[in-house]
Amino acid sequence: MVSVCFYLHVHQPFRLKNFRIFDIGKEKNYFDEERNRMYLERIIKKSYLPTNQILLDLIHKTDGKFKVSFSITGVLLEQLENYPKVLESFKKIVDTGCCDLVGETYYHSLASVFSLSEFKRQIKKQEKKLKEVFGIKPKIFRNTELVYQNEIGKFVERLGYKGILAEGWDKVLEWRSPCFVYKGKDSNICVLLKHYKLSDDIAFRFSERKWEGWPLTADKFSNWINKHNGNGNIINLFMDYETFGEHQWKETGIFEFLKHFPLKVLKNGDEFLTPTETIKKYKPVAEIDFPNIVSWADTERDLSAWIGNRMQKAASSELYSLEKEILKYGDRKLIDNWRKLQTADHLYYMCTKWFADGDVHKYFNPYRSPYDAFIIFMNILNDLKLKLEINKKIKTNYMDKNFLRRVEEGKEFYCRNGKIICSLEELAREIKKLDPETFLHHVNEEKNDFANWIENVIGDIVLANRIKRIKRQSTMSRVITARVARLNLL
Amino acid sequence: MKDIKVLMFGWEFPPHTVGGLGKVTYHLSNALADLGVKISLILPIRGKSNNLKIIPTNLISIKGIKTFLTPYLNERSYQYQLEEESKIYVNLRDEINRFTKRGVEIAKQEDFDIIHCHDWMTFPAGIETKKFSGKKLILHVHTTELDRGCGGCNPFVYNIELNAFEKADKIIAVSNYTKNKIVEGYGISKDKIEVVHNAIEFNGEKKNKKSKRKKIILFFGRLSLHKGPDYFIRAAKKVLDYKKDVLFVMAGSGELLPEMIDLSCNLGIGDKILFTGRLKEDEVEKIYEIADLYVLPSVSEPFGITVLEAASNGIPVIISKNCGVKEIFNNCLEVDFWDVDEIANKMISVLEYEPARMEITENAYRDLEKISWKKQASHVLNIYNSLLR
Repeated sequence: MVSVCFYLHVHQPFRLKNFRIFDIGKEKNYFDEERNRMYLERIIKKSYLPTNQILLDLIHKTDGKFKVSFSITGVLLEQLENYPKVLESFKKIVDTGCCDLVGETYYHSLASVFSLSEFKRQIKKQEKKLKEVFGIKPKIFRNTELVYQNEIGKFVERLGYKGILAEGWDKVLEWRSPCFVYKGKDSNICVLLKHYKLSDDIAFRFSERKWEGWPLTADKFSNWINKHNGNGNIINLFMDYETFGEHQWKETGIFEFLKHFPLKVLKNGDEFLTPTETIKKYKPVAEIDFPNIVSWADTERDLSAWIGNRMQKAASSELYSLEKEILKYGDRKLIDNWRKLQTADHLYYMCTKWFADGDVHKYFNPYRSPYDAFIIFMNILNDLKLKLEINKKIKTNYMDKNFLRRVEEGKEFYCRNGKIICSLEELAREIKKLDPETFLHHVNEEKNDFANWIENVIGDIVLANRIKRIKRQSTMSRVITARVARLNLL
Repeated sequence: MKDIKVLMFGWEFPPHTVGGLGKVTYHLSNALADLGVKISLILPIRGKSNNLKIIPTNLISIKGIKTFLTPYLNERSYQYQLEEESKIYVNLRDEINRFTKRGVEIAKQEDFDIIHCHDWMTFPAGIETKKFSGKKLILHVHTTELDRGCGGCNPFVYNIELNAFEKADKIIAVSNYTKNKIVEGYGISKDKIEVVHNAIEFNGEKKNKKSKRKKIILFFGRLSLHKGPDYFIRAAKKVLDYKKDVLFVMAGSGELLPEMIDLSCNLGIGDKILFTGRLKEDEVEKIYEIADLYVLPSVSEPFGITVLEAASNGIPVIISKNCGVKEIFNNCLEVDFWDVDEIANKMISVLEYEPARMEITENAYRDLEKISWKKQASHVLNIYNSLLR
C-alpha cells in the first residue's frame, strides 16, 4: 500500500502600491488595497471556493479516507478576515479531522536565511494565528518556498516541530528515493520529501499539450502512484493551492481531475495520510544531509529567483538590517509593515532571470517590470526608515537644548489670568505660582493646554507625554522643573 | 540564385542626418549589400552639401537629387527651416513634386527588380516608378503622419500615405506598434504588412560609466510635439524641486525649440536645462559618454532607435509605453508619456538606486547582443524573395 500525502500551500501577498519617491514622508499607506482585494476576490471565486467544496465532498464521500493538508499564511488569513465565508470553508475541512495544518512563517518570508531570531518570531506569530482561527497547533513545519537546510531543521525541531517538508531534489538524494521518511542530519526531525515529478505533473504539466502524459486522467495518475508499491512508502504531493483553478484554469479539467483521482487512489488500495500521520506510521529509514539551501523553485532549486540579482540583494539586506532598531523603537504598526515587506513575493517580483531573456510572461508580476518592483520597494523602505527615525527620536528621550529657547513671537502661552509665558524655563517657574482656578482652566478632564503647548510649540514630545495625564499642579511643576534641569545639563 | 537589384528611394544619409532614418537607411542597405543585394539609392541632397559618405561596398550606388527635402518635414518645420536657411521655395507640395519628377527620371535609366521606398516623401516617386516599370513596390514605414501629427494630422500627407499603402505590394513596418497604426489608421489589411524591427550594430563592448556627483539626464531627438519634449521639461522641474545636483540636456533641434526654451524659463529652471541644438556624430558620442540617464517620453514613437544607442553606451533608459522599440527591448523603465510625476519619480529613482541602474544597464547589454542589422536584412531579403517568386 502506498500512502499519499497531499499538501497544498495557500498564500496571497499584500502587494505594494505605486509608491513614488515624492510620497516618502507623506503617504501613509504602503499597500494597494484595491488591487489586493481584486486579486483576492478573483482567486476566491476561481480557486478557493470551488476547490474547498470539492475537497470537503471528497472527505465526506470517502468517509474520511481522503486526507489533505494546508499551510495558510498569516498574511492571507488576515486578508480573508473580510471574507468569513471563505474562512468558514477552510475551517469546515479542518474540522473534519482529515486535514493537517502545517506551520510556517506568518509573513511568508525568507527570514530563515537572514535572521533566525526573526524567523522564530514569525513562526510563533503564525502558531498564534492558527490557534486563534482554527484552534490547532501545528506539528509539521514548512518553510517559505520549501527552503530547507540541516540548520533550519534543527532550529524548528527546537521549536517543537516533529517534521518538516522539503524538496526531494535529486542532487541531494542522489540514489535515494523521496518515497520514504528520512530524518534530518544530527537531529530527530522527520523530513518529508516532495515527489516533484508527480507533483509537477499536476501543478505545471497538467494542461501542457506537448507533454507526453497529456491528457492527465485520474486513472493514469493513480496508476503511476500505485506503481510505487514495493519500492516506496509515501508519495508526497506538495504544491501551491492555486494550482486548482488559477494556475490551471477550470477549463483544463483540473477540477474534474481533483474530484476523481483520490477515489481512484483509494480504489487501487492505496491510502491518503496527513503529514502527522505519515511520520507516525513510518519511521525514518535514514539520515538525509542538506548541507546547502534547497528550495522548491525553478530548475536550480535555489533562491536565485529571490536573492539572485543586485536589486534583490540590496533590498533584502537593507530590509533585514533594520531588525534591531525597528524592534526596539518601532510601534506595532511599523513593525507589522516591516514584516509585510519581508513577504518573499516582493523580492520575487524583482527577479530578472526570465525578464532578461525577453520571456516576460513566464511568471506573474503585478508591476510593469522587475525594476519598477525594486523602485517601489525601495521608496517604501525609505519611508519606513524615515518613520523609524522619527520614532527613535521620540523614544530615545531625545533631548535638545532648543527646547529651552524662547518661542517665536505670537506662539507664547497666554494664561487665563493674563500671564504670558515665552519659554519652558519660564513655564517651570510660573506654573507653581499659578492660582488654582487658572490651572484648572488649562488642565482638566477634557484638556491639558500645557501638554499641548509643549508638544506643538516647544516640540518636546517626551515631556509632553510625561505631563499629559498629570492633574496636580505641584506634580506638574516638579516634572517640568526636572526636565528643564536635565536639559540644562546637556 | 541571381542577385536582386533594388531601387531604393531614401531619405537623408550620414553624415547629414536629422533623425534616426539616415542611419537606418545606411545600416540596412549596408547589411543588404553584404547579403549580395545590389542597391541603387536615390536620395534627396541638401542644396549646399553634395559630399556624401560612400558606403564601402560596390554593391550600392548612390544618386543624389538636389532638393530642400529633409525627413520629418511638415508645413510648420518647413517654414521653420526656411527661416533658418532663408531659401525661397513656395511650399512643401511643389518640393515633393519636383523630387518625384527627378526621381522617376533617374529611375528610368536604372536596371532593377524591386522598388523599396522609405517613408512618405518618397512614396509618390515609388508609385510612379512602379507604374512605368511594372516592378513590385515595397514601402518601408518608419513613421506615419498619425505619429507625427499627434492627432492633428495633415490631410495632404495622410492622403499620400493612404494612396501609397493601397498601391504597394508590401509594406514593411518598423514595429507592431506601427503595423497597428497602419491597419487601424489607414484601413490596410494586416496581411500586407510585415514587421522588421530596426537594429543597431552593437560591438559587445560594455562601457564603464564613471560615477560623478552631478548627474546628467538626456533628451535626444527632434523637438517636435510627438517626441514629448514638454513632458521632459515638466518632469525636470519636479526632479529639480526634489534634487538639486542634476543637469538636463536637450539635444536636438525642431520647430518647438523656442517654445521649449520659453517653457523652461517660465518654470524657473532655465539654468538647469541645456539646449544643444542639432548634434554632429562625434558630438552625439560625447553626449552619450556623459549622460547618466536617457529619457524618451514620446507621445507616439514608431521605433526609437536612440533607445538602443543609449543602452549600448551603458545608459539606463526611460521610455514611454508608446514606443515600438519595447517590442524587442525590455530592460528599461516604462512610463505613460503624460504621467509627469511618474517620469520624475523614475528619473530620481534610477539616479538614487544604484542597484537598479546596474541591473538595467547590464541586462540591456544582453538584449542588445540578440539584435543585429544582419538578422533584420535577411528578413528584408526574404520579403524581396517572396515578392519576386
